[in-house]
Amino acid sequence: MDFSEEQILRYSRHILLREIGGVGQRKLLSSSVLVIGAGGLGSIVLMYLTGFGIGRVGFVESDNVDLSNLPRQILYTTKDVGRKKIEAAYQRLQDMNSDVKIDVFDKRLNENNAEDIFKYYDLIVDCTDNFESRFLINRLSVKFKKPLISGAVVRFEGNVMLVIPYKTFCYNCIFEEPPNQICIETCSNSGVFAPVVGTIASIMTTEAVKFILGLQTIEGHLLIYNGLLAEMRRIKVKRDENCLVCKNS
Amino acid sequence: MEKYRYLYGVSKEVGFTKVRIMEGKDNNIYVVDIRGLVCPYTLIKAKLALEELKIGDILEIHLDNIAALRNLPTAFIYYGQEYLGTEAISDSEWIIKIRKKE
Repeated sequence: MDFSEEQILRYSRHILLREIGGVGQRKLLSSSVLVIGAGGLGSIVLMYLTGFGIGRVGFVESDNVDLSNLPRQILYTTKDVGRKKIEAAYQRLQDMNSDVKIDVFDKRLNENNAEDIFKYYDLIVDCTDNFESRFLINRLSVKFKKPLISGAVVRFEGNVMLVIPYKTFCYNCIFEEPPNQICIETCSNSGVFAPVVGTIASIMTTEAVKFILGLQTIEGHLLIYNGLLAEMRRIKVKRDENCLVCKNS
Repeated sequence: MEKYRYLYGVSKEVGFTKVRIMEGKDNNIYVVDIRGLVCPYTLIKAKLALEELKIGDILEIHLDNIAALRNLPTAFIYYGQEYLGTEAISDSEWIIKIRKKE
């Protein structure tokens, strides 16, 4: 694939990087990523992936834009309140970069529709906001052997992990089951500091790109960022040999 | 033997994507003409050209931009390439020679 003059200009700052260059940029343009959830994390992940030219970007989302979304879900504007997120997001992303093929899935992911959606993509990025979805997406990624980047944020703290099925630990290796409904912490009832969502989403995108380009990633580690303490920790995690999701290789 | 080819597609501005090749026994010498370009496009075009080469090949960058004359050698050293020297062909045009190492 040859670059047009416009592409050389558009992607010039990545082409200048030793670790990316023209070779890496071409690789990005011929790869595909599926983002699940176009909320706080998804907004930023989708905008970066589209902006720097991942060839094919899909996203799964079925909600409408709510006023309470706007401080962190920066894909949307006040005019979008009440609109389907997929419509507003599709338009914004396509306007950002028409090199990218944007696929939208106006549905909730489940056991039955996952295979048909996952099959088009090299990498899955979990940008959902609840435990139930995270367990489901982890299970499906392992089942269909798709690498997964999973991120989460609550209050001022967030974490990121990269799951390479049957090679690294999976979400289920660390968190065995969804927490008790009474003590469950989600953004909607615990609050979330908007810029920390941006930090976590940026780390997720960085890991996604490094994974695609074969650069060193956080593989085998859980990364934890605390915005209040301005502290980042990387914890080495091994696979759980008895993990109910990924024990059979 | 001397021939010409386009390193990354035929662009509208044929002037600086056209590359002259001098085929050697073990490695080739390529000449990329980036005259008329300003930073950072001098470096971008030269870097894209170098990426197309094989390890050991030499890229001769024909340029007329003073800032690039100073910056390109440092940039290519940072990229892990070997800087072989700069040759002045007039008081406003130069050739920077880089050997591809990685």
